[in-house]
Amino acid sequence: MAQEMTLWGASGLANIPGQAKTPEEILEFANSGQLSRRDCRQIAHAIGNGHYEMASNFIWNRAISSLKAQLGTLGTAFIAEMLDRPDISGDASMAEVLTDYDALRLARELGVVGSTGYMRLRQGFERIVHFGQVPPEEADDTEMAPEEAVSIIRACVETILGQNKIDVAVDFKKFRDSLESSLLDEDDGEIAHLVGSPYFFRRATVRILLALIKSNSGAQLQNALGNANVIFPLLWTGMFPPEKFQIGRAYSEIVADGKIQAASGLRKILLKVKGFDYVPEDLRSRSFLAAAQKVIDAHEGGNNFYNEPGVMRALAEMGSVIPRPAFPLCMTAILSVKLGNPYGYSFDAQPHAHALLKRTTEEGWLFYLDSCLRVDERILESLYDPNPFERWVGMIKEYDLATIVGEAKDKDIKQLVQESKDSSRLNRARQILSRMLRKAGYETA
Amino acid sequence: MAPPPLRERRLVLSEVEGTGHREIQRLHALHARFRFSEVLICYYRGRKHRVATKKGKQGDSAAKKVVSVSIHDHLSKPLAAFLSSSDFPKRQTQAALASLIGLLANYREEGHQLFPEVFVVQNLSSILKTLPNSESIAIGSGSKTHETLNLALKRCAPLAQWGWSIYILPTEEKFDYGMMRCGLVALSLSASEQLIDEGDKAIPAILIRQISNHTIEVSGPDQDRLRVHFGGAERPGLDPVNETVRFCNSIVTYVPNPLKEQVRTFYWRLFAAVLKGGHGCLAAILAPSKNKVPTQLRDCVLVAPRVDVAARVAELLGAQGRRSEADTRLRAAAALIRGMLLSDGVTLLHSDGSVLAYNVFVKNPKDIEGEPRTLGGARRRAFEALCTWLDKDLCSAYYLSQDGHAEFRGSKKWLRK
Repeated sequence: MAQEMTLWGASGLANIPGQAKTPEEILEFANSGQLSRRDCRQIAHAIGNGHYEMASNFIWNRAISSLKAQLGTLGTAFIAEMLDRPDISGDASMAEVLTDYDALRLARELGVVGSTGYMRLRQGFERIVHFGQVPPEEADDTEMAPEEAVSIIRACVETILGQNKIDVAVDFKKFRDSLESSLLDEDDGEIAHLVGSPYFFRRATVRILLALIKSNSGAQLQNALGNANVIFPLLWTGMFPPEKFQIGRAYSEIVADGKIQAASGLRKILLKVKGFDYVPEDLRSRSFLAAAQKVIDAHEGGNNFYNEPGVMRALAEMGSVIPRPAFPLCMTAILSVKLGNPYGYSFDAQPHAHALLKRTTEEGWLFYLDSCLRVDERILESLYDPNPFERWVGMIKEYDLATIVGEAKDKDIKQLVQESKDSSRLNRARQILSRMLRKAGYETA
Repeated sequence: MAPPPLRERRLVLSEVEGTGHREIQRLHALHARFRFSEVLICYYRGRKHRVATKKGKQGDSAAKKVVSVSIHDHLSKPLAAFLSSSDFPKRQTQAALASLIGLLANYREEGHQLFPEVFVVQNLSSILKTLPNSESIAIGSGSKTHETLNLALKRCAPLAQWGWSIYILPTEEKFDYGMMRCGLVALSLSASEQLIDEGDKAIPAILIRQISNHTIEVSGPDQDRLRVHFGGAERPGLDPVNETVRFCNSIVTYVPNPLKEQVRTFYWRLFAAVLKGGHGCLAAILAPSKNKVPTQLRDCVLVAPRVDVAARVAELLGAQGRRSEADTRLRAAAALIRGMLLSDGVTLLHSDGSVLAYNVFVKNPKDIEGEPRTLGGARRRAFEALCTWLDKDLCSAYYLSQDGHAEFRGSKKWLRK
């Protein structure tokens, strides 16, 4: 069903036959416009000489730079809205503000890469990050294996560097243009299609509309507001708090920027859906959001075990109560640190994460588990791996989440927590995670 | 009531008419106009105030009736019509609005004229929820009388500046009052813009404020505005607010699209303050083809470098980590330009929204062509002179007299965009 209701989909992978196993054979399929023959020779030469990490890093940087450059053509404001990153300013450079993980996430959401390509790139990225933070004294004993380097080269070539031109999905472009250039009616098939689509598409639609409302003027703004006036009320009931807060925050920003027409339109919509509870009262939540984003950036960036403690401590010291509009992202940041990644966790950041989680009230936990976790793909995806899952199991016991989740309405979340009482139930938990991600619209490769 | 002695007229002020001195001043003017007695005596709350002695002609004393003037009589019908389309309880709100209108006309404290914006609201917390970054401070409450409103203004009006407005919350038995504000930076939409100009009836609020010299406006979301004129300068057909809005629109004709709305609001707020202040003003906009001050406008103080409002607005909109710095720069520009607008002479703006010069003095048409073409004061004649250069050197010109009359003229050639 999810497949049928998909509004846009990714283009396929570059066709690299299974028998292409060596770097030279794989690099044959790289597009010369993206990776020159000279670069290919250098990579193959580095691999041949055992410089696996150097070669992997080189090709990874080429691939991710190409991806970021392509995403940058969509406009900074649009990217910031799609990622729900209010900290990205209009004149920011994509290469500077967009983390590699953000770029991958966005590429998947906009159909630049498919789920298989995303999964392979993600694994490649984790390997790059892991080997990049091995201390020098352990470097000689912990080397990247040749097959790991080859898998990174294959992932980069088949998803990005082997493509003639990487671009967002054609249907996505059409859909975005229609939201901007025409007024959709409640009875239009496109709207019915949207309402019945998985959450991922509905969330993306909300974000596209917010981006259009924030950055447009004149007729395009009128169209975007008119479409938001039809779409937001239809989606509001099934919308999760993070997106509702995003709309409230967008309204607050538009008012602060003195955009009369946009503010007036969004205000009417908020009145219609009775959504003013989601408009942040003050600036505090913005500061918390910025601090949480720094934690996430540190977690998803290189050398994360070393970088996490400082930013985590900063978040923990910001105040005892996290404002509700910033709560979902703060929980994502804290849990990311707490759960770590497949290669371990930052030991020094744990006391600060624990202090924050200990301060979280039962009501706060229930709000996160019942209303935010289902759409928190960062955390859901990390639980697939045995190591973060084991720490998740420890958390369930430490904070008595099994009792708290008893009051939750979301059956999948209840089951997930029940299956997380014991780390040996990883496979059953994975089934639930797959189901949840599928419902959200993410194909699980 | 028996007629008073020949040389003494009595005016008995009702409770709702005012509080002594200011009201008596107004009646003094009335006395001068009607010439019905030599001595005008006013009684307010049983106290006698001797206002003026005036020698009249024999026979003036023939008019011996007591004249009592109440603004309430004239306001009741239009206020009832205004309130008929709102959800406010009619009778109580009407009385409160009438009192506030009377009180706000020429409101002074310690000799300074004040221009507070007063919101009458039904539910303060739900209103504040719709205003991002808002806050309120309760100041007091009292019985639902004119005295309470008077005290509310006395306590709150001096505080109602830098974005603060007064709120009056009528409850079952009393008036609660205090201060409220919203907004983050200089560009943020004000409470009046959000609740009234772009408001919705689902969030009921009534705003009473002085919009120009001697004119009080009562407005609500999605409804007609009521203007109460206390002066005699109203001219049919030329609404000072409209004329000022038209001029502000002309300022942003050549400002880049993404900044137009904010630059227009910036200038509108500046001109609205000038309009309220009862100070005359002259301004003109240089044609986009011109980059230097034309010869006929050279008698001026050049502003170097130009105060580039659009650039400062862009800086504030784009500033992520330096918002307070950019905000301070924009507010500083506002303070500077306001001072220029209140100076003698013409303030000269460029069509990109920047300020080029102020204190510009122009030769009037008589000096230019030998024949006097315009009747009026120096400002009026200067305005007419500016209008002769429309289409060539100027895009538009704006004139505001001290008595609140405003006029805008624009060049069809330059403002077609």
